[in-house]
Amino acid sequence: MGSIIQIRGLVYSYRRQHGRPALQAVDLEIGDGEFVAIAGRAGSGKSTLCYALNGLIPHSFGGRMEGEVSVCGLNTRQASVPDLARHVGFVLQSAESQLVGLSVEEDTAFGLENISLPGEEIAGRVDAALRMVRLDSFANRSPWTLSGGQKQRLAIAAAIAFQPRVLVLDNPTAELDPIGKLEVMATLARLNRENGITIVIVNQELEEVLLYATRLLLMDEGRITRIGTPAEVIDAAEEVLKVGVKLPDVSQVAYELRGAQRWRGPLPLSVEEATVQMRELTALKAPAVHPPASKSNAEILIDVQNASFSYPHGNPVIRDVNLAIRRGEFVALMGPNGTGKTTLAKHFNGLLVPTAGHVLVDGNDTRNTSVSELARKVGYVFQNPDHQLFSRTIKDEFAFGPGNLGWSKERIENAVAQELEHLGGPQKGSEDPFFMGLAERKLVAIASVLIMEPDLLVLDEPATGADHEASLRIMDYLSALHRQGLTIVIVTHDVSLVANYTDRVIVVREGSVVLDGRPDEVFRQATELESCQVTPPQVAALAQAIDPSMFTCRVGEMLERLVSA
Amino acid sequence: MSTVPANANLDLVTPRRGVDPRVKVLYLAWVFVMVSVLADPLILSLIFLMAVAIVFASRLSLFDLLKAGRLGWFVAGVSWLLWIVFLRHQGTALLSVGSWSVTVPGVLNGLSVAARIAAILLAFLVVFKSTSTRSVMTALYRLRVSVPFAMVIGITLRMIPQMQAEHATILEAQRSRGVEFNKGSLLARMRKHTAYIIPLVLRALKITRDLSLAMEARAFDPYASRTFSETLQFNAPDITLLVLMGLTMLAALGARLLGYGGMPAQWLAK
Repeated sequence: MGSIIQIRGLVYSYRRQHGRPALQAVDLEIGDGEFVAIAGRAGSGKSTLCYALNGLIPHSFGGRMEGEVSVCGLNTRQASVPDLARHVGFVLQSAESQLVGLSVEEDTAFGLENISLPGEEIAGRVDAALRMVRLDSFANRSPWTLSGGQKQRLAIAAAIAFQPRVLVLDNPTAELDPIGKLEVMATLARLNRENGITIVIVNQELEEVLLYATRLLLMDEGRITRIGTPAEVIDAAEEVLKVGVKLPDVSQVAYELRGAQRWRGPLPLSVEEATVQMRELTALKAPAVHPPASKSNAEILIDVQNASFSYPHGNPVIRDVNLAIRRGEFVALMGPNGTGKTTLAKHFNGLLVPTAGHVLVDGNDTRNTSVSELARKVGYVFQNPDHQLFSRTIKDEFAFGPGNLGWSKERIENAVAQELEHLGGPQKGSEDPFFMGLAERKLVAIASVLIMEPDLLVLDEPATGADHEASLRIMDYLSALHRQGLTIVIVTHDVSLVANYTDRVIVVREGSVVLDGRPDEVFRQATELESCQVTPPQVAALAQAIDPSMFTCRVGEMLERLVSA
Repeated sequence: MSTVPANANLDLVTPRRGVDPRVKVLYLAWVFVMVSVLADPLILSLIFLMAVAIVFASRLSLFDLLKAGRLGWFVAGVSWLLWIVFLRHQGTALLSVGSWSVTVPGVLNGLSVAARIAAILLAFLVVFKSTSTRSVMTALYRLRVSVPFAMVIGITLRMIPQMQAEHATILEAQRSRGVEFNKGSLLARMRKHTAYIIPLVLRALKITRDLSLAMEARAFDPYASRTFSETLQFNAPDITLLVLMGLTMLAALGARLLGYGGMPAQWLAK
């Protein structure tokens, strides 16, 4: 297998950041037909490395580049980006940001028109590319009507229409629901296997890529810290954790067991690999399961009574939902994209009111109460902090919500001071949220809603887009708030966060609640979950495979049982 | 990730076949020239009514177009009103209330301005609602308009539904923080609007940056030659329309040079 990508001594600094190189002395060789996964925390240089492979670095970003990058025999410093585009397809994280055309076919043809291919050849290549990603029946559809996974597959089609030998993907599944992730990964695996396209993919979620990757590469502070087969890299679990990457659940459990001298041999990558040895550990009786304390007697904060909702001239999005959220609960709303989770959550603070039935917030019917009044009781944090934050300083951002509620100046000042204390001290107040990292911005967004002292906090995808460390930071913060008595509802696809942090899961399908219970109860319903396109956490599958009687969906509980056994 | 409504501007991608997009683009230019050259409110109203007829011929919903251009209709209406309010001491009075009169010149000049705005707006709406972005871009390219200009138009159209969705999400995010955009003094309302204008601008910049990266990665070079997979072919009705537009435009220019087509003097006389 000859090498198709060669990187020698690559050092790169973005414009006006010469003192802080984004890539430092990177040497890498990737063979033709490989499937290489890249992981590392935010800011470790993964995206920068991707940009260097298709010539956006140095041609579009400018900055200072040392060393050589050669892809398909072309030196990226000498070849232009359009020339490289014929050999290197590129897919970004946000599927929507890449849509150029207003039909699927038009979007796929855009790049081919740019390289002046004749019309007949464009038509043939577009057709072939759409067939490869299985979107050929959508050719005349608007891309905006596609699901997240389909949009990302369209971006892949647009890239492979060039008939490239290399496909570089920068975190392409980060914003997708589980079914979208599966669609994209299956498409990539097929392109790699059947068409021999070399895949270089940045992906934080190792469980997704390890099945397909021939090599795994870890990055930290602009350097490659480890490269090898997935089994080799995962076996060096300390290094994986050190660079802020989450281990697959089975590897994590085995790694902890190894620390307790109860695991021999290399760390497993899949449930199948882990099952045999872990079964031996459970030969002894597992301790009894202690479900979390029930909150069924607590006061009802949100009471959804036979609520249905339809947009004008549209089909029902919410269908006859009955639901009570009680004070002190930590609830997760799950389900496939477009199934009505966010629509339901927006009923909790009156952004939407039901077209039939009622939603009562602390006894107040949302039909008769304004959103601003409900904001005193229900805080709503949107998925993207960019939609929320606008002030020049954190202090001003914090003061905005209470100002809208008509608080006195003194009360606002006290509340801001208190919230700043939680966030890291008064000096934080003068910082500009615009220049903060995603996790910090999310925390500021949460705090700027919390300052209004709501009884219930609703968060839409609180950890999406954040790396593992940032996700943990956000979820630990929420967990601490929950322990102090705050009621929390999160809308999320992340089964791992749901399993490890929440005490109740509500699964929505086609606008109706189909499952509602403790995480360990819900994640046990494998068949029902499959129909809702929710994949239980890997540790749940592991527990089921080892011994269904000791079922758990939490890594910590699993370990506790295995170690104590 | 903000979600663009599934039904957002779908009509932009369901082109009504029949008229060559170059004819449609030239129709826009024709309307622009005609309303610039002529000032007679009756002729300008006829040009507007012609655009209304095209709406029906294109099987578009007039109601949807009126809704889509509501800001423009508002501007046209206000312009008419302003002429009536400020041109109250010249010409024949149609109606007097105390010292204030509604005059014929005020009404007619206002009608001219309103008809101009309405004709241009409706022509733009009917063309862009009945033509896919790619067809517009291909037409502009074939008419020798520069690729960057054609792309700017295409990208602007492409971003409309996305920015509408962003706008809606940001408004919801700020309303969730207790903002009531319709309450308070004018100054207070203006201040409140910064709560969505700033995030919207920043989002637009971010989206534009990502899109430009994606376009570059797909070999886009504004100054390089490119092909368009859509082939355009004039047919007999297209040529007839072009000839008619050309002749009427020449006639309008000639008439204006000869002193016709302006505001009729007898209507302005006292």
